[in-house]
Amino acid sequence: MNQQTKFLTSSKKLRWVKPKENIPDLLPDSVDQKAMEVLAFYEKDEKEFQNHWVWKEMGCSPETFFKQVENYVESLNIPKLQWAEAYQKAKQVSRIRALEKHKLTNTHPFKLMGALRV
Amino acid sequence: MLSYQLNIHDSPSIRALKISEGVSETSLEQTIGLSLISEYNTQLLNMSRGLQQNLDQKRNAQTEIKYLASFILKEPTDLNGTQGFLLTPEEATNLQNKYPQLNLTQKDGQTYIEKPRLEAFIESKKQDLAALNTDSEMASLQIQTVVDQRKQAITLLSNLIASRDETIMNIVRNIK
Repeated sequence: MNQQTKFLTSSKKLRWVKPKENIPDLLPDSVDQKAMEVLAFYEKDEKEFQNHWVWKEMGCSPETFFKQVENYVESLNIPKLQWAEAYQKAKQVSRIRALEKHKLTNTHPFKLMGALRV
Repeated sequence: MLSYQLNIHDSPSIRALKISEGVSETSLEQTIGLSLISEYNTQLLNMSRGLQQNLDQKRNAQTEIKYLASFILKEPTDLNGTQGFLLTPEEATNLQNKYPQLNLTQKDGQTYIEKPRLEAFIESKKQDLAALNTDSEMASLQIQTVVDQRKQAITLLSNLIASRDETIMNIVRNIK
């Protein structure tokens, strides 16, 4: 049995017994695990993004499309300040929607702060 | 309603989306939505690289802490009132090179590391590791959020394409 899954059954209830450690406590592996899962999640999403049908439909790669959008925006001659304001507002709306999806708004403020730091 | 002077730009795929026909508030929002895809893409690339680096740093920090903590398992020796651990010549050289700030002690031709100094050093390494862990948790949350934001932006693009296709189909139906 793995050392981390050992339980002592001296009482009726199972209770967790911390294994004896000679080495001082390191921070939990669960954080690493979570980070690796997030990276795998991102890689999967990135693959889906690169192979998204919209690029085939548009007949260009994402990078070409981004360049075209950039050129198009420049061609609109929108005042910089007005564009920046509208852009910031759109980003905020998008972020709030994404946070709502993850229900982060109800979690610890520390986590929320982290998510909002983008 | 916002209105701006428009130049027809040589961007076939953008023109095909029909967002270039008069910059109304709606089409401005659509344009911003499309611009955001690029920003989210860059953010995600940088954040994922950052998280990968953070993971590597954490692994190194954990290995270092384990290595340093292994000296505590040794039998302590009294060094004029302070406890210390005897080091082999290889260990002494390794520690001296890697962590010169540890200031190893010499006594009777032997090299020792003082216990309080070693413990304090391990503690500082653990604090570094804790900071890395906090960064990692935040980065993980941010990545998930931005992935969703990019998905939203892509959905906007899909909808634009779908509405364009529908317009074309209507025209075809009317011709028939």
